[in-house]
Amino acid sequence: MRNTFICLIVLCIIQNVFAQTDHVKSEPDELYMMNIRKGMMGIEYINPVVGYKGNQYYNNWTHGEILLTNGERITGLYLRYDGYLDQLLWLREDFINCVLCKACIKGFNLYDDSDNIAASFIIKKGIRLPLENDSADCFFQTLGKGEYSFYAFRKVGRLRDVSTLVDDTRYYIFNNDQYTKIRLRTHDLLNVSFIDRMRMKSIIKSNKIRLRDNEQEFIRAISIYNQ
Amino acid sequence: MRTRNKIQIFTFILLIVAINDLLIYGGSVNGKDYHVDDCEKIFVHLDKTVYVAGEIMHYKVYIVNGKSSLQVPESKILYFALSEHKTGKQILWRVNLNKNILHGSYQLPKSMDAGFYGLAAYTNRIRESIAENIFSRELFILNLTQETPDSIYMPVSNAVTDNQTTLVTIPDDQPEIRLRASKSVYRTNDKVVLEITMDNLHLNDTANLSLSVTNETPLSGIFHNADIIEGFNRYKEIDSIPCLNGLENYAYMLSGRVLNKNDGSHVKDARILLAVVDSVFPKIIYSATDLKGSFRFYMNKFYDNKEIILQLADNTENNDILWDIENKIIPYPGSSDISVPLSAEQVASLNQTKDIRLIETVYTEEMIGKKIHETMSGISYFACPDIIIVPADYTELVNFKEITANIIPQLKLKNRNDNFYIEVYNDSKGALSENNLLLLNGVPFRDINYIATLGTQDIQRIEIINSSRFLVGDLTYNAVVSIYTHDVKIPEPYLKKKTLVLQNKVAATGDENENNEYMAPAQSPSHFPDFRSNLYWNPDLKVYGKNKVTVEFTTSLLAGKFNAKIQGITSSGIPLDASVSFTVK
Repeated sequence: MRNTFICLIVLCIIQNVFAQTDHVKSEPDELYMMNIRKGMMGIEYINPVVGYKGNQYYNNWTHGEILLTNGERITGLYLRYDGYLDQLLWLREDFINCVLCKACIKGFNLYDDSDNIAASFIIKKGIRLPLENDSADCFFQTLGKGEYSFYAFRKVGRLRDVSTLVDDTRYYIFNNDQYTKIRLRTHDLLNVSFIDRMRMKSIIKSNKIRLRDNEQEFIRAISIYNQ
Repeated sequence: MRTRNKIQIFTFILLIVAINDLLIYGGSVNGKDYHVDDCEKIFVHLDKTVYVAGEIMHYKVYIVNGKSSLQVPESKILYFALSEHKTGKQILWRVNLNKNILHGSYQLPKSMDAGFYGLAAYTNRIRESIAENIFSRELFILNLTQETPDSIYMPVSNAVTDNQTTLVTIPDDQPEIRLRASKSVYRTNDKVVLEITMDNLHLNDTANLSLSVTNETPLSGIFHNADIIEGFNRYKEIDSIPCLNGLENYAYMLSGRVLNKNDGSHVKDARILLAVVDSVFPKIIYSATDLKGSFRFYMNKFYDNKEIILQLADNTENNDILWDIENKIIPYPGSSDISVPLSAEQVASLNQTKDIRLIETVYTEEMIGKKIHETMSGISYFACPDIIIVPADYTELVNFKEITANIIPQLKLKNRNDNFYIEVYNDSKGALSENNLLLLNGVPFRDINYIATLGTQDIQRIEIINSSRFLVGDLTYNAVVSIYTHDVKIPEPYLKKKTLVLQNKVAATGDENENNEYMAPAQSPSHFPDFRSNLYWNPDLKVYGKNKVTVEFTTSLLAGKFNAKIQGITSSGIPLDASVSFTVK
């Protein structure tokens, strides 16, 4: 009986080994992704504000994926967002930092250690920035999605005549083609032309939302408004 | 006590067997579950079986995912191989697969030899499976400039007789299709009405069909072509070998090897750049060879029907290397072919087909208009250039040396041992360097002696990226110089000497909303005389629930027996087939 039992286990192991061999012959997605990753291109990153105080990066090098304008998706990259240049950086295998061409990117996602999306950015085209005549294509972090979407432009600015970088995050609310820049204030939110002032006011009151300088509460208010 | 022990051991054995089965069959690759029977089944319905070289072959493809027929096949590329049974010569073309039903057309080359051909349709995944699962059908191709053959070479037997073949018995309540002609005998130039009805088709179910009406010839007995029901049911199961190899589920895979020309050894770690000629942006893809000299490019639809230029990133010439490109053909089992003489009646029938084609080439207008293909934007990793120069804005300069000396101080064209080279000033490094990526009309180009001859009359614009180094795969270039000429061409000698040029041809497929039926010639005043042997072809007929569909067309001046054949599939993946014959006097 014992011998039969041992034979059975050995047979099972052999069967498993051969079964795995068949799977090795397959064309896994990782092979495709590896091929695409190896062929990435871009310009070497030169930090224009070396030695400045403050931080120009939204994140440390983290795992992420980029979505290209042609619909392709490249995963398993080390990415970093530079708020001073408004550029997406990629770490090549030989540790050279590289700026990815903005024109070919639709957006990117950054993952946390548990492989969940920690932040999601998309390119918003033709955004008019304060004190600038021309419109620009900017990376906006998606904070809330729906009929009314809420985005953060994680801009990092430089104090005039001082080598210091400061967080200059700007918030935008979008409704279809309309958008407006707002500060994290109740007054600003209620004055958005395409938002129903009375309805938003009642949402804020009934849900006891404290909006002042509170990104999370802002996201909550817009998410309830979208329902 | 002993009984209890036995029960425990038995339960334990059962548990091991169950876990073992799970490990083998419940395995997944990147989260996707694959099964033995996931190999695609393909059926192709052709508008007729006898063609003349230069004619357009119309087809409808039905493809289901093994036994999970409702699933859209994972393969995104479908290959067609047309093989001549006598010589084994193959013509290969491919289409993009977006759904499990598609129709399209292919113009047969005018140079094709007359003979008996086999048409195979397969995905790369099936190609590496077993031959029995590759769809195949036979057809005759004639050539107006060649004698009609009096004998043909054909395979000994195409029938799958293996006892592993699955033959599915169709239950009584399965949907069935009925095809009925309004009369059994028609006159020439008479109106024919065909009625298509469905039995047992569920209210929400749709039958997607294709219909061909062709004349029956004495050759009909030669062809051993299966209909869709038989074709799908003769699928051969392969024990424990998952049908996974070479799955092209993302894009077309251009793969191959780079070998040393002298000793045939593998060239490992070779950097390969794939490019297309472009007047707007460079669209380059990078790949490197592995230890076996193999490389692979995944080419999305942007590269369809474009001339692909492959070259090594270093200065290697074609004299030193061999490009061994995988051509995706299937092995041709020509050794089993035998010669069969044709009867006088069969030869006469073939001659009649040639005569009809001759009349058609003189009188008929092209029936299918040009289709506008879906275009996909290519990705250019080349950011906005730091410098853009349009030489036409300046005074005329006769060569590149003068252009660099007068207009672009960042570029230096120098001469060493009678060979020109370019140095570019890199802003971040603050130095000139020779290690640059030079592009001519979007294609990496290393013949600086040719560039040196270009003047302002030839160059449309020059773009330079020199603020930072440019990274391509694991390569690092000091700068990028991209030259666009007015003629948007790459010199032939360079292409021959340093590159491999491939035509990435993809046949067009029809749009679902497009009307693709053809039957018009008899109704068209410009068509005279009308001797069509194929009276009607519609690759996109649909029957919903219990509705019935009627089709109308006219007979031609050709008398004889005609056969209307309908093939199709329901939205739940059940194959359908029906036919009806009528006579034209």
